[in-house]
Amino acid sequence: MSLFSKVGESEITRAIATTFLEMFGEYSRSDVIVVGAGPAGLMASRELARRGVKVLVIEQNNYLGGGFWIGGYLMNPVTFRAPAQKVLDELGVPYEKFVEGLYVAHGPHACSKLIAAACDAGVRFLNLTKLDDLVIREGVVRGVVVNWTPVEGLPRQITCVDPIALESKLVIDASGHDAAAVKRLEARGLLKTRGMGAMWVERSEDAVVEHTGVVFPGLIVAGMAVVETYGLPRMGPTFGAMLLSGKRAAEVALEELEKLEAVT
Amino acid sequence: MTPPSAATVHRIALYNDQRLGPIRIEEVADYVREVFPFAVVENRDEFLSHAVNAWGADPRWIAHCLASSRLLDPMSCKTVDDPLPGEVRYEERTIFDRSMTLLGVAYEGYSFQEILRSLIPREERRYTMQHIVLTSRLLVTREPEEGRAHARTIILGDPALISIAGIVEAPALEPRTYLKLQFFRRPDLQSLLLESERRRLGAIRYGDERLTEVLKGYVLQAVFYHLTGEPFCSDRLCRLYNAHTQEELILAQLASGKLCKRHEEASRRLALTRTTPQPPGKPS
Repeated sequence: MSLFSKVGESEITRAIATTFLEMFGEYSRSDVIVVGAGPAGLMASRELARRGVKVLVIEQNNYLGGGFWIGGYLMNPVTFRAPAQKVLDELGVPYEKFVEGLYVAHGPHACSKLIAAACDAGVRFLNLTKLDDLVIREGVVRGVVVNWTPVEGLPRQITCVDPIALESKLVIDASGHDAAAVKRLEARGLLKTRGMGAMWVERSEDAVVEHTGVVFPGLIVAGMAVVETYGLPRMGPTFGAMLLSGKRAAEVALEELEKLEAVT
Repeated sequence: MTPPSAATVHRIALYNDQRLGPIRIEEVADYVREVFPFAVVENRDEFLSHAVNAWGADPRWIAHCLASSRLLDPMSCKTVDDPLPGEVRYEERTIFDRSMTLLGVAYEGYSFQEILRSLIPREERRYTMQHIVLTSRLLVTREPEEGRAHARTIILGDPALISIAGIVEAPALEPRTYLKLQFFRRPDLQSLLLESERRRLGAIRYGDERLTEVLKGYVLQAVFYHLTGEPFCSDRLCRLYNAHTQEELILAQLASGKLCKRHEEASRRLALTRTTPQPPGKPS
């Protein structure tokens, strides 16, 4: 007698496809789409979902977490400057005080807890999904155009896989240094990014959080994409600003959603 | 500006900014009154919120100007000429939201000064009235003769600008610190090293309790410049010494904390030519 119940291959395939397609269909229209499942995107999506907002995160990699698994130079302790350790408390991530004002946690533990917190809050993910373009209606970002990441790797002359569009009330660009959504607007001449500034960690963390916000109607920028957009001083492997920027992006998104609701 | 005349009371509007540390502004004002008994010092709110609330300036217009004076690259001193809406919104928030630290953005110092000057109403633009602005913003200027950009502690003129971020960032630490920094590529470690070096050297830090005492000296420099055209002194123990390092700043403003004999005398001579204001109700 087998330890596991007897299920056919086709049932397994149907379970995967049906579950995925149900979710995919339901989230073809979301309240908020977050581009990028790094620490800022995960934090923003978690904060929104736990307040009842329907959130879909698209991530170009197979894995979630972005650069949050590793602290720098292939070493996995991740650092946080006060007051970001309060977010770790909230997520239940163990950490230690390294010196006054600086805290250290293990990347895999912090990252997996954040992913789990986002999942627990009800966030849905499309991984291996790459932003291709933005849906823009009447000068407002109203969704994303996506394709499978592997499609991009195929030579154009042997494949032509059209992307599909997902609608939302708002989009949050938390795609890190790529600033993928913002760059799409730049390509259309709708704004001009500043690129990343000189490294100056002491000053950059405040600036990232304080510049997190609406960059274009319907589009909020968070995390390292903020640095790229506004040419702020770049940071090293310290993650406090990413978490707090994600929180701030969620606050801004809630305000914007409220404004939209008031209009309709 | 009306030309200076003898027996005038010198009015100083002193604008506070508490974002980067507790500033005991009344103590600074009292010190100025002690050195210049003829000065009438009025403590005011942050300059930009005062401009909006008391002078009716348009915050959106101010925000656009501020965003245009942001530096794209502090090394070249090139400014943002066509600000993004997000930059303008950020600057507008800075006027009202006191929780924002304003760290991480640098402004071209003379452009910033020009924006502030343009906001001062005509009736307050007089030789006998001086505006001294404490600001959290980091101001950078590029002097043609030096060929490179510098963060500034003070930009003289009217209004005179004293940058609190500049007091922390502009005066150099000892040369050994910068050699040590070369060994660290990771910015969080660089940051830790800088912080520990600042503590070791007793340098001024953000939130430092000593900022009030330091600011007294910089305010005096602004007043001396306004009244005499000479803001600085070559005596390292005088509060008017133009410190280029944290060590010099600590020496002039904290270890010594007073004017040299020559400038004490100068302040006395200035007092002789001016009317000292009397408390209300007391015959002059």
